[in-house]
Amino acid sequence: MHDDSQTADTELVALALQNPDYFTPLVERYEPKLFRYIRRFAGLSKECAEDVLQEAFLKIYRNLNDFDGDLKFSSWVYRIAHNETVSYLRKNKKKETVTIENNDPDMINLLDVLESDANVVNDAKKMEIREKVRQVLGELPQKYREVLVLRFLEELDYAEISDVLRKPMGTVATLLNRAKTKFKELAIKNHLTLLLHE
Amino acid sequence: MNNLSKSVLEKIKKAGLRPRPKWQFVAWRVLFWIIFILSVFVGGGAFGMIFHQLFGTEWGFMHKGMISPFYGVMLILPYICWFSVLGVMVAISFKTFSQTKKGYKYRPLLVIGISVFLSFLLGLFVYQMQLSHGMHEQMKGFGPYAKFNQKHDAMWVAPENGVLMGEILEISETSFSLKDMNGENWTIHFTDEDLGVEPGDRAFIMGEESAQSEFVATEIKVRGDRFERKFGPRS
Repeated sequence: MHDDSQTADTELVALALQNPDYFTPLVERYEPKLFRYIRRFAGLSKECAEDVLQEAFLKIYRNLNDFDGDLKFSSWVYRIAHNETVSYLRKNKKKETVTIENNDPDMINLLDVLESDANVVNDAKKMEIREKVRQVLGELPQKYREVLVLRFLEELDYAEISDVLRKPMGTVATLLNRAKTKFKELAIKNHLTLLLHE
Repeated sequence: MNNLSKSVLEKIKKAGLRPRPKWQFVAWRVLFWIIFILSVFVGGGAFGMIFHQLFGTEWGFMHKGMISPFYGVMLILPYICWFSVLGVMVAISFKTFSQTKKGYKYRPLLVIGISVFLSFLLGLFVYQMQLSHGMHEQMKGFGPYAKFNQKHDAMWVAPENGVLMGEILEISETSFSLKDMNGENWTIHFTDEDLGVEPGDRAFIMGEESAQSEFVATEIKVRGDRFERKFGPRS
């Protein structure tokens, strides 16, 4: 099913194939999402994430003819950004550390994994919890972190995650379950669950 | 226009970048499909050779203890080789299939299963059509396969254990001459008048060495399953 933004993306792709100026609106539309994703997933500094994102956009432009509307344009650009990030990490052999800003409000979304009914209203405590979530996320292996980030922070559905990671939906579901289990274990180890019920 | 989009656009224009033409992507996809299909076909060939070995080996002779257990390894080795070829082909087919546009959507086990199944069916066809026999004949003159094949066939030359294998040269009423796999000539005696073998056939013979270069057959089997007949001992 194609929504309006998807139709607009497809039209912009067709136009950008004729004139690179039309690529600008696509960059502007996806830049914030992809920048956030790269930082959340790989824990890169702002500068590194910008470099990776720029390379990803250049690759997206060079491969525009490969996009044929079989999958969402958003999934396709997430895939290229993801691959570019993985490739950057491999080349730089960077020890990944999640350096998401402490004020990333979506971090709290990952608490859904813990199925906690705790209702955090205090801003200072929210900040502390976000920091703990960030820490737990940083300790997860890459294969678990990427699915958790895509599902709970980027809020992609299973089919979209399958398209981004080029993995079957069943594998995505299995990975997500394992990632949740691992996240819960690390949450307990890092006293995140205790913090929620204080 | 923000900084990043400006910088991206500048790079595109400065470097004169253009989107890669569509035919390149199509060519890659076609190439992956070709490799996938080829790997299934080669896998089919490997299955065909496995069937050829499986049904072309005189297991009955082995059970009767007529060849040395040491040579048992020689019987198993072709399977290991052809299964290795099959394994590599299945891995290639899986990798290439997962690189096709929608290949990643399917579970690895399903893709591997389908690849093995297709190769299996092709292997049956290859064997049934005697193409595997042709492949064996083509390959037996080359490289390591030729050496292995010589050793493999030579293990069937064990007259002291009642086994001979070789090529039939000339046939008379109750005997035929045979050149064994080591190049020695034998006269094989049999009791059946309507034997049905032809010069050039490769025969497995079970029986007893009666004199120097003389052998009395109790069982003859022509390789390729064209012929099998048991005989009573020659009186």
